[in-house]
Amino acid sequence: MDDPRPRSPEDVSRAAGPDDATARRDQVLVERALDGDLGAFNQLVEAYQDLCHALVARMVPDPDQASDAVQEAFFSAYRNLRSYHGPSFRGWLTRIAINAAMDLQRARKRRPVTPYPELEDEGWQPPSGPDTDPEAIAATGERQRVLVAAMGAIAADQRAAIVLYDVEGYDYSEIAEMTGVSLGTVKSRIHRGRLALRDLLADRMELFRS
Amino acid sequence: MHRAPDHSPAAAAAEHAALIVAFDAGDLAGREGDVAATLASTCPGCASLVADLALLRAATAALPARPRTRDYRLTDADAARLRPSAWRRLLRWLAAPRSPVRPLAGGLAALGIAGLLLTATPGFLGGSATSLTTTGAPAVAPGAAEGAAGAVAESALPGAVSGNAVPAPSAAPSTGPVTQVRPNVVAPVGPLASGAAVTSPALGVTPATPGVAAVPPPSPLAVALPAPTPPSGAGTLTGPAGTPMASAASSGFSANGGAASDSTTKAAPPEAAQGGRAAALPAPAQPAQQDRTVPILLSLALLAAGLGLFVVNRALRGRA
Repeated sequence: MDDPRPRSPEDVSRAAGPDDATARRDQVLVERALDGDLGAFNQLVEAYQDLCHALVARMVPDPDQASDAVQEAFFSAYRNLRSYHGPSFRGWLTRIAINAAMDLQRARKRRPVTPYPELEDEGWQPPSGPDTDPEAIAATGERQRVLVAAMGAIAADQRAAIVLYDVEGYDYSEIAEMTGVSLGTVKSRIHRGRLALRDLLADRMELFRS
Repeated sequence: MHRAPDHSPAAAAAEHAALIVAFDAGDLAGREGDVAATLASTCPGCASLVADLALLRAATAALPARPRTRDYRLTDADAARLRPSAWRRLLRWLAAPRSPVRPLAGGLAALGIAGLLLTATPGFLGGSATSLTTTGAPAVAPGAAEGAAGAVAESALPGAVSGNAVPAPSAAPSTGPVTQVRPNVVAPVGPLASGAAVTSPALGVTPATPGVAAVPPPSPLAVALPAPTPPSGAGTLTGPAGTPMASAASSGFSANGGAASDSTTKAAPPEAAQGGRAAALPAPAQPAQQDRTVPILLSLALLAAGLGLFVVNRALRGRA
C-alpha cells in the first residue's frame, strides 16, 4: 500500500541508485516547484548552477555575458517548467543553457565585446591545480591562456560543439538533439573547429608538447 | 558553371587535413579510412596533425572553467515576475505543438467553407420547401402554398358548403395533402370563411372570444388576412358535442408542421385572396437573398476564426 506521506527528495534519493535517485529527486522537486514552492526550484538551481555555469562559461567568452546567459537559462526553466516531461531534468536544463548561450552568441555577433577580458589582465591566473611546481603552474597557465584565447576566436557554433563533445562528453547524437542540427553538421563543426584551433595555435604547439 | 577542380598544393593540403581530422575523430570508415590511415603513416605533416589534434583534445578537456561568481537562485520577485500570466498561458496554449489549436482551426475553417458552399447552393434555405422571409416567418414555396391553400379551403369547407352545422370533423381533412386551391369554394362562404374569427350560432359554433366575435364579417379576403393572435383556445370550432374541431386556418397551426397555415394567415398579402394560389406565393427572390447574409456572415466568421487561429499558432511556434 502506498505511503500517503509526502516524501522528501532526500528520501527518494536514498531509495534508489545514484542516477535514478537524482532523476527521482529532481522529479519530486519539479513537482513541488510546479505547486508553487520556490524553495524546491531553488534546490534544483543549487544542484545544477555549477554545471550550467561551467558549460556556458566555456561557450561564451565574456564572463558577464556567460553569467547572464546562465541566469536567463534558469529564468527560462522556471517559466517553462510545465513543459518539462522528463526523463532527465539535467538534460532538459542543459539544453536550455546551451540555447541561452547560443542566443547570446548570436546577439554578440551584433554587439561584439572583448572576448575573455581576463586575457587582458596580466594578473589573472587560471585556477591552480594540484601541481605545486611554479614552473609547471606557469606553463599550465600559459597553455590554458592561449587555448582559451584560441577557443574564443573560433566560430561560436564550432566552439559549442567542441565544448559539448570534448569537455562535457556528449556524443554526436546528443549534441545534434541539443543544438537542433543534423549529425553530419555536428561532426563537421567539431572537425572544422579542431582544425581552426590547430591553425590558430600552430606557432604555440610547443607549449602543449612540453 | 562548372568549376575546375583545384589541384593546388594548398587545396590538397586542406583536403588531407580534413581527412586526417575526421580520421582522428574516428568518423572515417572504408576506403576513406584506409586513405587517411595511409596518409597519417606516410606524410609527416599529416602525422604531426594527428599528434597535435590529440594534444589539443586533451588540453581542451582539461580546460578549467571560470569559477562561478553569481548565485543563480531565484528571488520571490523573480518568481512573481516569471510566473505565467493568463495572457502568457493563452499564448503558450496557442503556440503549443500538441495543443488542440490546429484541429480546432481546421474544424472552424472547414465549417466556414462548408457554410459558404451551402449558402451558395441555389436550393439552400428554401429552394425546395420553405425559405425564411425578412420577417422570419416561413414563406411558402409554390408547391406548399397549394397545399396550404387547400388546407384552408378544406377546413372551411364543411360548414361553408352545406350551410349547416357540420359534425366536427377531425383535423385530418385540413392536414391532408390537398394540392389544388379552390378559391371559388372559399369565396361563397362569406362570414364563415375565417374559422378563426367568425362563428355562427346557426352552425353550432360558439364564439371563441368576444374579441374575435366582434370582428366584422369579413369578405372572402378574410382567408388571407393576417389573423389576430388568438388566445388560448381561440378559433377552435366546436361541434355540437363540443368536440374541438381543430382548424388549421383558425389556430394558425397545422399538423403538417405549421409552415403552410402560418404563411397563409400571416405572410400572404391581402389581395392574394383574390386567387388562392397567389395568396400563398412566396415573396420574390430579394428577401431570400437578404436572408443569406446571416449564414454567409456566420460562415465567413468561422472561416476567419479558423484561419486566424492557424496563423497565430504558426507565428507563435515560429517565434518559439
